[in-house]
Amino acid sequence: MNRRGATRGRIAWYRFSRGRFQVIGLVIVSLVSVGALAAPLIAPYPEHAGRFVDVENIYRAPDAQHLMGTDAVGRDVFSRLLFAYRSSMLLSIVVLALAVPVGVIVGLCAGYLGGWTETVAMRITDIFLAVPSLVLAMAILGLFAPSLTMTMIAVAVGWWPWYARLVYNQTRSICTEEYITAAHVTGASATRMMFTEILPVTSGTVLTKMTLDMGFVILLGSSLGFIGLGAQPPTPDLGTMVAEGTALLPDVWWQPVFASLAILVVVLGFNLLGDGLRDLFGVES
Amino acid sequence: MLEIRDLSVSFRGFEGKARVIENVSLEVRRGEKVALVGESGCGKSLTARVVFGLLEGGEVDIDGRVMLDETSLLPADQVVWSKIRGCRAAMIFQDPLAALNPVFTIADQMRAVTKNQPVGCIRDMLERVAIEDPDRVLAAYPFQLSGGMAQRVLIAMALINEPDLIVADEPATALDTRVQRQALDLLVEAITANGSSLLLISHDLGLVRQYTDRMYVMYAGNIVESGSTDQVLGGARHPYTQAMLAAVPQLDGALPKGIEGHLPDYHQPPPGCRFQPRCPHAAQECHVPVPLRLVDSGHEARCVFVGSSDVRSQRFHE
Repeated sequence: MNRRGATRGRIAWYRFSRGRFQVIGLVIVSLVSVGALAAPLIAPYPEHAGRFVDVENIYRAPDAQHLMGTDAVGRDVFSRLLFAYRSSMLLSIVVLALAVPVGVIVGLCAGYLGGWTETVAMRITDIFLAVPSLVLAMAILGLFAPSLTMTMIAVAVGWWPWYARLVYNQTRSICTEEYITAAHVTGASATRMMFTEILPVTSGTVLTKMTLDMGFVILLGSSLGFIGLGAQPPTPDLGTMVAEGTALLPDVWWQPVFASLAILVVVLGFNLLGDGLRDLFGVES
Repeated sequence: MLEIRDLSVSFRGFEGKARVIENVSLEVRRGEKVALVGESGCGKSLTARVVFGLLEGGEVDIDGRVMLDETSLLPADQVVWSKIRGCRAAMIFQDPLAALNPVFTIADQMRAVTKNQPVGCIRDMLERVAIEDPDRVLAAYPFQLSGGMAQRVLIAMALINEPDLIVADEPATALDTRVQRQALDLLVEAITANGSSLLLISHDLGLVRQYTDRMYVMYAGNIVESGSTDQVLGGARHPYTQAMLAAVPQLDGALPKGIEGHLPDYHQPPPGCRFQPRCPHAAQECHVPVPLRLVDSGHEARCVFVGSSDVRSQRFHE
């Protein structure tokens, strides 16, 4: 059993590593993750992540000491970006941890049980889908004091319906398969049908979407940060850092440009990785 | 054991009611192997689905009585089904690879079917259906198995809880003839050993002759002939059964005769005998409903000419 498990892992890696782009995606995601996790250890100026002012060094162009220059109060942009990744990744993970279980359960129940459950659940889902995530998140954040926690909740509220839709459609199509009828005639209960027969079949699709969404949640979080609804200063935030620097473009280019690149790189990384997983799981887009 | 009385199934739709099954009565006694034969679309599989309660809900009307021993299966609630499905009655499907969940190993799927049976039992069961390396098969995913292997796994899954009744819906028709025979040999052998009953749904008269004791011939949702397999295949009295037998290729090289025409529209079935539009012996009398008529002890046929002294009934045997 164990040996076979190892073989399966190797087969999966073999198939995954055939695609150059997904391997690049994996490398990017790994680097960003390590950078975010180990930010306090590897950032050249970890104290610059918080309330720190160094009037001597404001708006320093990139050099050997400050790889990406310094900002309006003399903080090292590179160090702050590493810390900004921390909150962005945390945002993504928490949003998906909240949205995916809710969406999956709603979609699964609606698809399998049908009838009133389906009508009520899917119409509510449609209402949420009708409002763009960014607008919905802005509306929710407008009601409360912006903070990272509030951002997480606001984004998650707009994110679960996508999973409900996805899993609902998957469930409907899986239900027509003969192995589901076969499981039915062996006496499987509704709970077992949903959670042990159907749910695992959808896992590849859900996992692929989660990977792609890691990037999209970061992008949405940055958009909220850009309009001042993200993590509040002095906590570093990718969107806020882009916004802070735009006023002084093009002379002081380094902060907005490097912050934008940081967003680009992480979203691209998750996208490439997600595409690779999609091929690996044989999911149709 | 299994008793179906006056079962009617109809679907409501835009074009009105489609009466797909009408007044079907069928019985499978304990330890008996019974065949239900007929061409595609005549309601054989639908009958099997009713037995397992797979038709409930939606735009469908089901009437009649379905009993498994003393338990009524029509209607039945979840509590009843949880005791019937997989325990007292099991079903074997046409396409073995489609009937296995692609994301689980065989071991996982078999464990889900068996209630509290040790892994040793599962291995023994696989060995009983002539799987030589059960450990490899248990660790495999469905796509890693050949069709014949998957069919055996399904037979093992159906048999493992020692059900009283096994319904095999065109088992292994997706496989080649040799593998199909092998699978059926194993199935029938195991059923005989367990003392279970078999309802074999098929359109292959060869299989029916080889494996069953009694048979029912179904045409367009009616039982048109029933009796012991020898009686029906040896002395078919309904023109449809005769036509089906004539459609079997012969070893002498003579080309088999097909049956002209096709199944009637279920929305407006022909009055009286449903086979009458295709029947070479059709006459005016065929336009009124015909009951099943006794031919011989245990042998019945739904044809007006059966049991009458009309010349045409003689002509059937020429």
